[in-house]
Amino acid sequence: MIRRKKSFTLTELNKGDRARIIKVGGDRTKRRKIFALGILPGEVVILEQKFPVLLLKAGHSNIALDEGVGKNIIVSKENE
Amino acid sequence: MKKEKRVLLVGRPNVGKSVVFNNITDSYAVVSNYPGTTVEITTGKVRGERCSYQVIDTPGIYSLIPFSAEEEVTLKILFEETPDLIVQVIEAKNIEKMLPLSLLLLEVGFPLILAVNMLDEAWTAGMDLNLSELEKKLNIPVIGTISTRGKGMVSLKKTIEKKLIRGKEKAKAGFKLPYSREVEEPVQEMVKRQNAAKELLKDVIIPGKGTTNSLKEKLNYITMHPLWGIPFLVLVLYYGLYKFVGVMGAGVMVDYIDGYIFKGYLLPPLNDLAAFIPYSWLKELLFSQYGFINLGLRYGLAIILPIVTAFFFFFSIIEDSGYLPRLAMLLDTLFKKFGLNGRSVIPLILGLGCGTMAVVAARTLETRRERFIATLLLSIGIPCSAQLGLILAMLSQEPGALVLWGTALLVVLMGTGYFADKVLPGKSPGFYMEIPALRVPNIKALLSKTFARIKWYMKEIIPLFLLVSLVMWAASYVGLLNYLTGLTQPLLQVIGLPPELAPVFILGFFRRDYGAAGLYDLIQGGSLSADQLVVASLTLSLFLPCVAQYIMVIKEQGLSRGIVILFIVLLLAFCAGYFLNLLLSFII
Repeated sequence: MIRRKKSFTLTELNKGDRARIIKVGGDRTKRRKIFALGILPGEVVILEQKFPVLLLKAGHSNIALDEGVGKNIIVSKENE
Repeated sequence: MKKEKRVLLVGRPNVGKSVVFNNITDSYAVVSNYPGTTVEITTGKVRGERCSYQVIDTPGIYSLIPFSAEEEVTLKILFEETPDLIVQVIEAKNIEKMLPLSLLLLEVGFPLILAVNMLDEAWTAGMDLNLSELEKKLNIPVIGTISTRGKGMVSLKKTIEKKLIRGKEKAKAGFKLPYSREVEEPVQEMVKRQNAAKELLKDVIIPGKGTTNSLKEKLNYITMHPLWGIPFLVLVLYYGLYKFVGVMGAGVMVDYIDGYIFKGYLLPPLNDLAAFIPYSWLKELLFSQYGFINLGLRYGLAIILPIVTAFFFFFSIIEDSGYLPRLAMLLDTLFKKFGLNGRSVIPLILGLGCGTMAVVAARTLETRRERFIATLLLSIGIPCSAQLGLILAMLSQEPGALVLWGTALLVVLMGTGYFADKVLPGKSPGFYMEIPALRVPNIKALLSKTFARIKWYMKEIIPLFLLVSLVMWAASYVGLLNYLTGLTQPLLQVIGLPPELAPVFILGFFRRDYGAAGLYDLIQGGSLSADQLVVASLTLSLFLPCVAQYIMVIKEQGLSRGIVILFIVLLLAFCAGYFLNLLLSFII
């Protein structure tokens, strides 16, 4: 049996996936700004769109992120 | 004398703060720049039943860490001006994401009232809110509002008054935190606050059945779609910029104000007056082609003002409807190629209206590198609405010429951006942005925003036009104009243009559209071929921005960068004209 990967970067998810944020990387200031948007460890997000940029749905708000920022966000998949 | 009490409106962007502001304050709002910045702060007065106070509308914030120069201003007001009361406006359906900021504000010790706004949207989304429960838990007043319909405004005003009068005896004097950019705020605390917010909201949010607005959802989908978003953008630009700003503003409104009011009523008596002026120098200064009246007043008020008014209105619509962030998101990938990112959409689109204002707006970009590139592109050839209007009118008789001009302009702009990205040190910062819900903009908020921008324009730009007419008058008096014209002529010959165009180019610097207007006269006289027309239009579009914009570039970027931009612009305009001319001569 193939062992399934537990954590992913946001960019590795498919459109429509639900995921829980584990960690946000990147430099301190940028990280805080992303936190301030509501992308915090423990929160559940849905990846709504992958192109032209990543589009996350967090609660009732939408947040757009580019690939570079998305690569730094580590998540685990929810109910799959 | 007693100092007037001050109430601060804070909250995330797009939560309806300015609509709340317009609803509770008296009609005369004052828009001023925060000292030392170009960030606008709106202040209004409320004469209540029991006391009168001042309300200050601040730029949106997400947390107590500044994202941009605008947010820094909000934080400065919060921490340095010791407001008597804070009203945080919250978007009801996103209360879970916005309550952490309220908790933070309470932690710091601010006297706080929550206005939970846009309740109607929450109901549509299937959320009912038990606000009295929240009020009990937080032990601060919580008012439910629907600002666009004026709901809850009376009770908000009453609560503010009550709190202001009572707060006096209870006001804590000791909580003045020193403001610093690096407020220590580790992840754990933010997570803690978010969890606390969720816990608090447990009995507050009552899930119900929502209704779907299919049209809104479709629009929401289309505007963000990588493919469908593009034709939608084209529609917005066609109807918004071309039809509304171009045809309505630059056509109908200018014809009326310039042709009817100015030429019909204002100018003739003024010109009669000229006969009574005994000094020829004064007559020149006031009445010549570049004099105070012609250039300063007529140009500024009758030609440019209606165009920028239409543009500012259009811009407020795409801003307030939530379309701009969607545009930023769609164009991010493209803009990355030019060392910019999605955020730069705002100054660049603004540049299509007024380049001078756009150079100021470039301040909101994160890095110096981005600010420089955006300013450079604005200086090179993002045509402002005045210029765009005339060039479109001129070239529209020859659709081929129009396409050629547009393509060449885009190639030069993109090429410059691409090259700048490769050459300049540093790299582009990441793009992240909240995409707010699409909304029908509130007309009162639209008008007050547009009016504030027009006021800015009158204060900043009209004096520059007057200054320019003074300089032009002096330059033609001492013969400098003729000298510059003589200098330009041989260069024009190299790119295949007749020497008659030289004054058009020189004047183009002072009145960007004058260049185009001068061209127009030459076409009417039949002295330009179709090829020459395209080459001239392109060179003029790329040529120096208007003097007001250039002054702003130096103010924002400094003299040395300003000079670098000047040389790049001159070189590019000339080279592009040369190559286009060469290309055209090969084809024929």
